[in-house]
Amino acid sequence: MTGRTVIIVGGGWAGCAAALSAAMAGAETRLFEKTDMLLGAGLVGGIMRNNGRYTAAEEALRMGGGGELFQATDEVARHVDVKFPGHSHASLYDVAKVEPLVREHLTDAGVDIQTMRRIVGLTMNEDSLSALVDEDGDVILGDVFVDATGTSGPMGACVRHGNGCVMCIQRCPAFGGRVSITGRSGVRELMATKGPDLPGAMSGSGKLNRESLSPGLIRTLDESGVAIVPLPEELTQLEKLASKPCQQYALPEYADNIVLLDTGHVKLMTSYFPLDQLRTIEGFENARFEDPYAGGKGNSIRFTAIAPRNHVLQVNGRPNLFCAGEKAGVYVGHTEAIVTGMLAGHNAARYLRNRELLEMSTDTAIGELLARGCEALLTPEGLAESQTLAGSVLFERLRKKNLYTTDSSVIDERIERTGLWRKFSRPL
Amino acid sequence: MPREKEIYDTRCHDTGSESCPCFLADAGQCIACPVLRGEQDCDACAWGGVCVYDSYSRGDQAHTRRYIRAPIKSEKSTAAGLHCVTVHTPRHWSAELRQPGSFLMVKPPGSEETWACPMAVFSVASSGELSTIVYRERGPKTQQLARHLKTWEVAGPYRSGLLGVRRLNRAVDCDALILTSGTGQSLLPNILRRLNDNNCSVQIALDPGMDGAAYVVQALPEFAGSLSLIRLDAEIAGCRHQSTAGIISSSSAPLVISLGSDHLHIKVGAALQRDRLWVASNNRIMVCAAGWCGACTVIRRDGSELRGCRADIAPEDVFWSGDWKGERDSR
Ligand SMILES: Cc1cc2nc3c(=O)[nH]c(=O)nc-3n(C[C@H](O)[C@H](O)[C@H](O)COP(=O)(O)OP(=O)(O)OC[C@H]3O[C@@H](n4cnc5c(N)ncnc54)[C@H](O)[C@@H]3O)c2cc1C
Ligand code: FES
Repeated sequence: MTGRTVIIVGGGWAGCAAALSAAMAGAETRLFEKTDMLLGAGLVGGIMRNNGRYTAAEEALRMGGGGELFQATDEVARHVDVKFPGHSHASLYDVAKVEPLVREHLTDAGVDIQTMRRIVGLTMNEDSLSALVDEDGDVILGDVFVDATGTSGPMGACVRHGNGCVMCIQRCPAFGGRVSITGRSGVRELMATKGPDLPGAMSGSGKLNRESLSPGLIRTLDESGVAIVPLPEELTQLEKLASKPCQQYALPEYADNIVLLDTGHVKLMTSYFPLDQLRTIEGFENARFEDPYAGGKGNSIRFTAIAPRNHVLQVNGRPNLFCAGEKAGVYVGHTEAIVTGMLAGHNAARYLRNRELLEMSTDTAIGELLARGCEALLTPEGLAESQTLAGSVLFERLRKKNLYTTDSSVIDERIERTGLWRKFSRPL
Repeated sequence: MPREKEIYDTRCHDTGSESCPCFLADAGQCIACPVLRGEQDCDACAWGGVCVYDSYSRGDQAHTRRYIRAPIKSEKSTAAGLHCVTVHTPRHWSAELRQPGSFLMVKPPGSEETWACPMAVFSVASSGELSTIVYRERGPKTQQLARHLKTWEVAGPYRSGLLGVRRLNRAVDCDALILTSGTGQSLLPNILRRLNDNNCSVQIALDPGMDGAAYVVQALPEFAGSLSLIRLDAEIAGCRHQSTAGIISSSSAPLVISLGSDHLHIKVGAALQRDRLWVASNNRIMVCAAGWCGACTVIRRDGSELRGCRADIAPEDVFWSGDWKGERDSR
């Protein structure tokens, strides 16, 4: 392989990190995103550094490459060191400020960013991809490809497995739905399950419009980043927890209370909440949803299209196709998307140069995330388990293996020892 | 980045229209929606701005286009069997009927649908209520129409009169070469209006066809300068003879539009390189124009079948020989 161009499809956190890594490794890098903004689901989330994500962020910052995106999210944090039920030392980035900053980072690194370019097809040469085709029929030639198209939507999936299109930030009706590069290349994809025969999972949080809440609530959020409002008994929502992809928030506290976080929007830690019921609660009398717009009715469906892949993030049977973020496992989270993207972009650049592909050491939290996420794809139980550094099974594993830490000297030593220090910021 | 190549994405002309979802959804053969065709995911969705699966699962009922009575306002015929007929059509059709590739299904009053013919709309009067059709009497269907010159029944508007029509609509500040013969000319006015609006320059090679009528010339005096009357691949007195391949190779226009018989299209396809964008008149035989009778079926390179009356496909999906063959793509 002696080509030059790495093509990344999907401009969410995973695609952005992959682009930055590939560009910093010296590859000519082009990023294609179907909407008019980068960051995908990252435009509405905002929680970083909670629990094991703290360790992974610190590791990634030391490795460089796409890991530098954690600098960007730190830079625009509205609140740091926030505690909320089950979570410590979180920081909350400002969803209104982060996208332009990331775009700037990518442009500075020389990434050719193409927004409003939706990829709908591809051409193949035996088992390898040779070109992509966008919605206008334009053919885009490339040498190696990264599928970072995420798993949200498209509209058909939200209709089939959820409560219909609820108009989330992906804006499928306007920009067209998600199209999986892996799927288009003929690879049968995997579906996560929320229960027997229940494919996919509904996104676990919505955003309320700040101005629609009472001044008291806004004050509490401004001061501490968190507001916890007990729910009247008739509105407790235990049955809804099971359908969330965010198992780290599937704690009773979230069923008995409304948990709000300040990310610029007011993040409501539940999949959806019928608006007339919400408005019966003090402080929410005028509440309205910001994302998804029909957050009183449902939320977007995710994880219906995961690529079967190996430990170096290469899609099975497709030598020049790598994957990252939600596409690469039942990975929930910005941090998870960034660190997998980082490796996918770097390995894509290695593939171009005929270099051995890098497997991340499992002596790191990131390595553990990559390895466990890969194993989990092999069994039905694994596909029912969401992989996040912030809680649930994986966070338990990190603790057991002593990988979870906030001590920077421990992390320094670990990254030095595993030979990953600045590994991703040097040209190959 | 320069445009490397182009691959035309198959869509359905009727997605999101008053005729969607249609009974092809019931039959598991929706052109746009892979889920309605029984596939597991939406990846092969021919997105046209709405989710057909969503509309279908909400029980939205599509209205198939119905025939309405269309009194004939005026009629002119030539000895050579050419007819120019102006009929009353609803005003709310007029915007659609002015689109390139728009056509009506026309049949004699009271007759069965098997007597219907697709007819390109040559022009729509400024009032929006009169549409002019030019056709040549050929087989029994057109003969029947010529015998009923008081009133017709029409259904429409239909959108599939041009293969590769999105290429034409997308072309801006671009040179176009048009080769047209016979009643293929009837498609010209709407096409030229669109190219003109998009600041494209055109060169038109017009072969008047068997009866020698270049009727489009009087209708479009403003394009006289870009139009040359020729005889394609044949010697006929009074016309310059030129080969199709010669005209194509002597022009560098990126957009090539062929309006005529399949015979013309095959010659154009053989002469074109892959780096030029091709648009062609859709000559599939159409009976129902709704997708159920199958008369219009197109078999593509990969063996899959599509209804040519509804599918928005490229000429190379229909004429797939020579240079246009052998590309393996996932759609
Ligand atoms: C409402 C909500 C709130 C969340 N909150 C948090 C949070 O607070 N903290 C946290 O850590 N995680 C949160 N998450 C999870 C986290 O946002 C995601 O897991 C992560 O951002 C996924 O990143 P990704 O890059 O894999 O996918 P995505 O963000 O889905 O990005 C995929 C991108 O690909 C584009 N795309 C798809 N198909 C094509 C195509 N064919 N051509 C071109 N472009 C295409 C899409 O438009 C999209 O921009 C939240 C998720 C949601 C939905
Ligand atoms: S004309 Fe009947 S199916 Fe197309």
